[in-house]
Amino acid sequence: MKYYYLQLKKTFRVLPFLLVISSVMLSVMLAVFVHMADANRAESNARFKIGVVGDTGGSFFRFGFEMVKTVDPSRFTVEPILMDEETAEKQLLSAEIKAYFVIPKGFMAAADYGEIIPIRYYSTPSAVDVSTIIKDEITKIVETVLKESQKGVFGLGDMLDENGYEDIAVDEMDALNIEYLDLIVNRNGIVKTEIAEITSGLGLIEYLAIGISVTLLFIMVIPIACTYAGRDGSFCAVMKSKGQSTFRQVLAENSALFCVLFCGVAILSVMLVAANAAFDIMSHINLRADALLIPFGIIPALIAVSAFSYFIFELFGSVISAVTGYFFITLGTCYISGCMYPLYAMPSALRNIAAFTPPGAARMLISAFASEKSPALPLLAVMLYSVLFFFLSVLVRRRRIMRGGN
Amino acid sequence: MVIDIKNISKKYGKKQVLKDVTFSAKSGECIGVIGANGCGKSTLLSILAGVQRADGGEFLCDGRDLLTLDKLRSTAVGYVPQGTPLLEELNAYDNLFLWYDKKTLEKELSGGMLDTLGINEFLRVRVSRMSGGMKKRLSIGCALANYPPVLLLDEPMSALDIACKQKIKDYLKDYKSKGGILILVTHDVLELELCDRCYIIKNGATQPFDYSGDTVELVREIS
Repeated sequence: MKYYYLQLKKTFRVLPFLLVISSVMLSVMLAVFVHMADANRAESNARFKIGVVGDTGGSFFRFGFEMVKTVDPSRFTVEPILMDEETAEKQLLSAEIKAYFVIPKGFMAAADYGEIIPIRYYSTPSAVDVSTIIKDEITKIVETVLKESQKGVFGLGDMLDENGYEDIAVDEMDALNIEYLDLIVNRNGIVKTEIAEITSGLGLIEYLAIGISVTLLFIMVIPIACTYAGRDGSFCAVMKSKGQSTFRQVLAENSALFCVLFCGVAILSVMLVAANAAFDIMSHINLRADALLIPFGIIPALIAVSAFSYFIFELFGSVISAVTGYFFITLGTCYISGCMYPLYAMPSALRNIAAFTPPGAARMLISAFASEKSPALPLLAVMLYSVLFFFLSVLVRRRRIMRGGN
Repeated sequence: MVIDIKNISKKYGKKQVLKDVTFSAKSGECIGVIGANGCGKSTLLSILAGVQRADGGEFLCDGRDLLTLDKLRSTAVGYVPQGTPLLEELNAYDNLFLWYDKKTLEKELSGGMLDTLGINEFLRVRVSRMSGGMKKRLSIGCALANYPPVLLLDEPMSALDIACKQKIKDYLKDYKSKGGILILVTHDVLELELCDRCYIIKNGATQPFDYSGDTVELVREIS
């Protein structure tokens, strides 16, 4: 306990530096974030570009498509673009289009007989909010097309009357009208939505807010490096000779690091809340506050950050190499784990690696509390990382002591 | 009190560093261990301090093997390694507080052993701002918490000025006179003057060496 108390005393000396550096970084990140949020909002006022792929060859479809595109642009907020499916997928992942829908083969032919083959709709979770609009508009488009065809039905009735087929005209028109009614009644089932799981069920702004917060958590440990990295190992040797095992040494030091980090995060959070009350800087973020977020989200993530950073500090021999090494390792892993940029813009191989990096696991854990997802798996991953890095630190410390403390 | 070090051996991979280290000492004696760089002197001390495990051998203290009795060893042996075994970010008082209970610490600082070492002079100075001599005195002060009867010192006076060396030397003489056993690893002929007996570690084994003050002979023996 005495050792833990002294470690706390030692580490708390760094808290003012940690707060100053973190506040500066937080301010810069907030400024960038608010700018991005404004840009995102401006973009949301523009027409949404939507890819249209699949069976788009029918002249009737082309007529409807051109009508939507050119005749009455003020009625629709979407701008449909014809393309092939491969291009659509690529453009969706690079956020060039908001979504794309696939017209199934024989869609128009089936529609002629009153059947509806569902259109498949692909989107990213960041565009989930626009999905409803898009689906409504597709329904509107179909409705408009059908109204035109209804005119055709009545025109056909007139033609039959004029050419001496009055006896069959009534029956034929009744049959066509029933098919038309079928289409109108069923038009809401026309779209089947499929969401690509890329931004963990969050909007883009919320996703980035969490990612940037996780990056900040990892970076704010850097000022603590001077008290943990590059120390003379002879102290650890004496501790061991006095019966303090390496496990207990690392546990006390790791716990002290966690406590300081927790205090730093708590103070920064209070500062952020105060700044938000004064300047309304977080009005763009729509994150729900889950009561379990702190005990099962923030605290496990902080334990993992402490264990990870402690391991890096223990691994490197001097303060300079520890800080440099930690900075580049953290920034690299934060980047590939999608904390600094949405994952959907990255190659699929990187997306798969992202979940297996410590920042990736921490981001997914906090995201799970902000979305409807279960936090069980990311929580398990974060706990495993904490245990893994803790025991790796014990091994490195043991090796250092065996090598004579250096 | 008598300590017997018997056939201590240690291997690093394929390299046999220590193979037959044997000597003994009784209360009030100072044993000097000398040898060339890398001969295993510091390894021997870290084994006796319980930092490293020996591959074989015994470290008997009044018949009980301290290499297997960790709790007894931690109270019976004080260890001052070569580096700075202190918390650099804290002051002298905090560092002492880690090893002493508050009451004993106050007592030792007012006329006790810590006062003799002159630690009161820099009690509130942060370790990172101390001179080499201050750090060494503080390290010895920490190692002597609860008066261990055996004190292991790894080059305690290296890189210190003469006045500081003398201060430490005086204290170690006092420790000896009170019945303490000193095992001193050194390269310094001045430190050898403190020793009652000397051993040279050569090819992993100890050989008795009678130091008469002849440095040339010492150099020949070591190399």
